[in-house]
Amino acid sequence: MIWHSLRRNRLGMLGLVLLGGIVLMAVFANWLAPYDPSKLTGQPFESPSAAHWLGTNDIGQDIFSELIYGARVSLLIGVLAAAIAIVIGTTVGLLAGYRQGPLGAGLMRLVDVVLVIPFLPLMVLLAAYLGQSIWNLVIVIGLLIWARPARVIRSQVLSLTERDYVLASRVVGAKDNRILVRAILPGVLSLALAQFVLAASGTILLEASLSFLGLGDPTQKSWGTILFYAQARNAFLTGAWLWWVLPTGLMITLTVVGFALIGFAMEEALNPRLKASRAIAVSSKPAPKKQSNPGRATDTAPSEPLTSTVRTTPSSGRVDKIGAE
Amino acid sequence: MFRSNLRVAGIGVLGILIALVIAACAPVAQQPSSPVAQQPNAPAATVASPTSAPSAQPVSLRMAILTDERILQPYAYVTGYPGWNMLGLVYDSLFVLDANNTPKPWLATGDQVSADGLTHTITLRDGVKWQDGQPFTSADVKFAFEYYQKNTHSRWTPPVKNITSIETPDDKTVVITLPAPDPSFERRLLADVPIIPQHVWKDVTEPKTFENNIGTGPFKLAEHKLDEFYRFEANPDYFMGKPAVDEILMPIIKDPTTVFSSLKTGEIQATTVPLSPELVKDFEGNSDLKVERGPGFATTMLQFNDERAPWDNAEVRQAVALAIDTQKLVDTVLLGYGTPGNPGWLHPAHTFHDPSIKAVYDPAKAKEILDGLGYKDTDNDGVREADGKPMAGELLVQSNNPQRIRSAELIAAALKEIGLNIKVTSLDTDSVDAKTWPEFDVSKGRDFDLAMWGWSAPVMVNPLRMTELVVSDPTKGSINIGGYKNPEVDTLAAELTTTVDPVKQKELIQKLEAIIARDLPFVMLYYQDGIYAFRPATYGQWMYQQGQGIMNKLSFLPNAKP
Repeated sequence: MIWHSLRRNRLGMLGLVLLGGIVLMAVFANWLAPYDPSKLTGQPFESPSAAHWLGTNDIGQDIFSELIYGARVSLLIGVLAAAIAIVIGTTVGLLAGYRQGPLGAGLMRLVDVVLVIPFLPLMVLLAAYLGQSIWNLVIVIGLLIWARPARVIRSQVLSLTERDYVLASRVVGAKDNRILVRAILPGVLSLALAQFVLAASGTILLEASLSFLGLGDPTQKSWGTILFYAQARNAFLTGAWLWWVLPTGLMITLTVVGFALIGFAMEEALNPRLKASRAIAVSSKPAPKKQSNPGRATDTAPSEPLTSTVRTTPSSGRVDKIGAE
Repeated sequence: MFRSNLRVAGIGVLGILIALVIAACAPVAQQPSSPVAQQPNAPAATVASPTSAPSAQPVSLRMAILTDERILQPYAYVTGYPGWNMLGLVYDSLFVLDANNTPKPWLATGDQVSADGLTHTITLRDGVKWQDGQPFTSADVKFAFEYYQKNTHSRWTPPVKNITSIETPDDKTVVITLPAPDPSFERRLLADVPIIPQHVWKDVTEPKTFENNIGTGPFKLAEHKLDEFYRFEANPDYFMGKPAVDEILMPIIKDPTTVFSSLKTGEIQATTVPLSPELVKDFEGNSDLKVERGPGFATTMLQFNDERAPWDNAEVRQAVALAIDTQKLVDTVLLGYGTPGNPGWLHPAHTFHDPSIKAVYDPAKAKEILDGLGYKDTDNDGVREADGKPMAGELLVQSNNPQRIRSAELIAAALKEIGLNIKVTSLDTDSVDAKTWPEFDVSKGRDFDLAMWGWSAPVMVNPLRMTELVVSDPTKGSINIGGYKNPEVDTLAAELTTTVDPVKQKELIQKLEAIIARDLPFVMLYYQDGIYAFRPATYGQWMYQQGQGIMNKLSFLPNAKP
């Protein structure tokens, strides 16, 4: 079902093509890359040439090969961190949506707290405290971005809980655990998948920013580390940014956009009401706080953690409006 | 539908923008008018464009530093470089090191040594005043030395500790008695110990938090805003004449890249930060900038934990040294702006260095040594086994130093070739210190395999300090962070520390050099050149102090000839 809708969504297809290309590049890196990026294959700071399409870095490694291999580390970190976030987010969302007593309320307050934590400073702090390795990076990012998926999944759970078949299984005396796992979980899985794709686009950007700030593992060749060295070795002053920074930034952008486009397309496919209601939504005012609709969490857009201004878009109001219809 | 696509596309564009913002985080200050975010709120007087100032106008210089040095006094400053050098603008010592690092009289006019080498009679200069107008006398000198003796945790406490007595027969004479002759007395004490005023410090019991910056020095600290800037004003009554610069503003800019771009655009005119090798060509070709460079005495080395197997075995350490091509490190990481390491520690340009001691790169020999020890790769995983355990280790490196990280990577790759599995771990500086040199006290032990390390230039300037690197007694070998032990070295070092005759000194130092080169408690990798760029239109009379660079008080006193 998802697939069919996705195929009709041209932007979604574009995202799929973008991401597919990058995944292929990561998988076949050892065939595609002209050199082993860990070997010194040229002089330091070479400009682009036939031998080195994007020149060489500060110690004479081929930047083009670094870029291709970098996809592996960046994608790995992005996907793992997003997976952690989705596992936590789905669990919290299920519990908070199904148990609306003190537990649910408590979990939702926790979600609120995590949502308003100043994101990047905390992450910088955590990364510095835990030390520099890609696993710490994965954990730090994963632990900090689960709140939004949790919220979206909770609203889906809220609506599922009122469905007839759930009520029916409750009436026949099914235990809570069974209802949660057998009746409700399948209903949120596809939504969780969409959230996962969206989260991955954010995590890749986060990995790049943390590594760029020197808080990643500088011995791993990710895109963020390439940027870290470019900045540390004055690429902006020597003009080398043209082949050292720009292509890397472009790769990050393409990946992030690829993930985001797929994620949006999937959400759209899963939630037909989103399409219909969008036109009304744009002009709507913020409505009362109550959230009971599996609205699309536009605010998980990849850019969110970096600029607080994005967070203040009226999207939440729109989502609420849909809920109140 | 159209609308939705627009919005989705908008978010995509936003993503692109943000990725580019990350990539372009460094401010590219190409236009002189572009603001530098880190620029402190400069006082109005310093804003006037200094480049156009005729010579009669006051000279105001902006010289960027990387970190705050807190209270700029002998107990509270933070870094060995440039903090200690900045201290020298405000405080004076009895002697000063000239361009060749020879101690010359400064606050003193001379030092007469008795025949037995135990008594130093030091005469003081006339007419020296503290910056608050009080006269400077021998009582201040006695007070300062005794204050450092009593109040520990200053850099000067260990060297003044064993002075027997300090007498002041009159206002202008100080007589210092030592328990044994000390060949480096003038260099290590007289030219290093900053004299603090008795009338200010006499009741101070918590020197680390005492806020006062009165010295006799060429500059007064006029203003300090934490993490923003230091502002120094010339001391018009300075005993060696008024400095050639009237005001030095030292903005704190935490990112070296920003420092260099500010220098290029003219927002600052000098910096204490050594220029990155990749910028040398560009800066040398820029007519507004001048680049001074020369050999640097600051070291970069591969430090072993000499107590932990298998690194406790000198032959293993020799194999490691043989596998590392230090010339290639210099060419790759420093782009040639450096000198490959002398395995015997001293910089090859040093007068005491024995030129027959040289580093050898011979990986085949390294393999032979390890084979000879029986450390072979028995399970064919590419890593040798020593006594049943794979020869593996963790190489610690400071995450804020990309050049060291790169060196560490290259070393790990070289050692892989001879069958050692070295994992490079990058940690923040504090964590590396905590593992290698807990509490900066070698008697507290150590918990590491290998570490990238380095000592600042002053450790090299005084060759007698090499004993501190290798003596096993923690009180004397205060920077022997590897825990290296060799009775032969201890005996030689004990002899050296009381030898006054320079010929005999050189002989002993060369013996020590030979042992260090053979035992290799650490592998000397390279000495990075000191490269300093400045804008000569504002101020250009810098003095390049050998091995140490341009940041010293003599740079601002071109007419003073010590």
